[in-house]
Amino acid sequence: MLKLRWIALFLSLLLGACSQHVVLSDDFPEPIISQLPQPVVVYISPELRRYVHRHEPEQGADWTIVFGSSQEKLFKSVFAGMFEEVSLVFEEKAIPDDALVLTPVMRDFQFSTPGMSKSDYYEVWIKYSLKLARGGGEPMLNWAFTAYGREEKSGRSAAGAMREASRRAMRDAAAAIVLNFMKQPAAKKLFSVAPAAKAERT
Amino acid sequence: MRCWPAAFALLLTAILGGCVSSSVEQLRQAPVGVLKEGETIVVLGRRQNFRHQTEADFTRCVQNTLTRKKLPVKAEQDFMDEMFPWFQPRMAPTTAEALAKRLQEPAIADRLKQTGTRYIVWLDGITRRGEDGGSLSCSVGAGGGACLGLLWWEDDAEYEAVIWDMQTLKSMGKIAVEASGTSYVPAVIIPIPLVAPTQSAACRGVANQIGEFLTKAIQ
Repeated sequence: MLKLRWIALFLSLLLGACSQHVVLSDDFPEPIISQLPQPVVVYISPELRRYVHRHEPEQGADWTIVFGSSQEKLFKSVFAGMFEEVSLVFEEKAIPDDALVLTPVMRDFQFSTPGMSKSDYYEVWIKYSLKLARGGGEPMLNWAFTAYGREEKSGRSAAGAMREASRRAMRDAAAAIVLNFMKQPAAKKLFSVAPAAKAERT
Repeated sequence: MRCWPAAFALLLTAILGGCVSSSVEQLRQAPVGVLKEGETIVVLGRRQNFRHQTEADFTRCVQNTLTRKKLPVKAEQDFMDEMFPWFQPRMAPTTAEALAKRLQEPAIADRLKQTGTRYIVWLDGITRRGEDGGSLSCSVGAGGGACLGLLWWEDDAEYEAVIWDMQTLKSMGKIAVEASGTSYVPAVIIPIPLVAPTQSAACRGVANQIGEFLTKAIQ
């Protein structure tokens, strides 16, 4: 009986070494930027909330990266910094017909480990798109952008380094929105503002 | 009999022991103002995606050394959260001039005042691997294993620290440090790595000078 326990413990340690599980649950600060007066609705879809990236290569460790509540926190913070009035909606049918709706979509997630890239870094790339529409209508804007984050391999576990690289990529996504969203012609026309970088809110 | 090669290896390592030489230069441009209660110092490393980026452990090392000198140092991450997202890698200034321009933007200057950040120490630089050489071979037999040979490499560290006063929005001074060290791995039966602490020497050099500069601010 004792031998079986040891075997089970050994096997669980062995399997544990072959799979990495990362759960993201970070908070994000609100950006320092001038707020726009227009009220907006941010639609956080079930796909965005439940996004899980699974990587199961033939050789090497399996990775599972669970985004959980971090996406909701990210977009809530970014848009709360950008707009005076923001309401979050989690069901499509709850979107008001006449509201300006921002819908973030996660289109792709890629990563590389020091073993894959022969470098000293864990790197993460996230491709998002941000749709802007009136109610449930056709998007006036469907802007795609890529965010990047990396973390040095030293001083952290593999899962810890991947979590940090992912967190940095999400912060980079926030920076990309602050820097570039209002430069998109449709957004610029709709919100009639100067570029976000000239903001003066504290 | 096997004690002799090991003793020889130890002697060799003692003679060659990873040595570092460094030089520090300081340029003062303005007198240091005294810190008021609640005011802090923040140490920022140059950040930029993909390209040149000051190592996070170097920035941490300088920050920790200043904290040990009883200076009121704010964590870099706290500062980045307070100033979000203007110091994220995508948007962070890449030169001292760009930093100066960024700090003069009204929204940023106001937030700096609100959060009590008085001095910003801007670190720029990197440690690079230089020349290397030597050879080392190991073999394993029925009677055991042994290695023989010598490997060496050089590391060159070059960093610059610029200290900015947020009250006057001016640079108060500049500290430049250069350090180079040669590391060895001699092997007579057992390889003994002797890594020259080049980056640590550069960190000590720059942090001591910054400390000397800023301790006047708490006197």
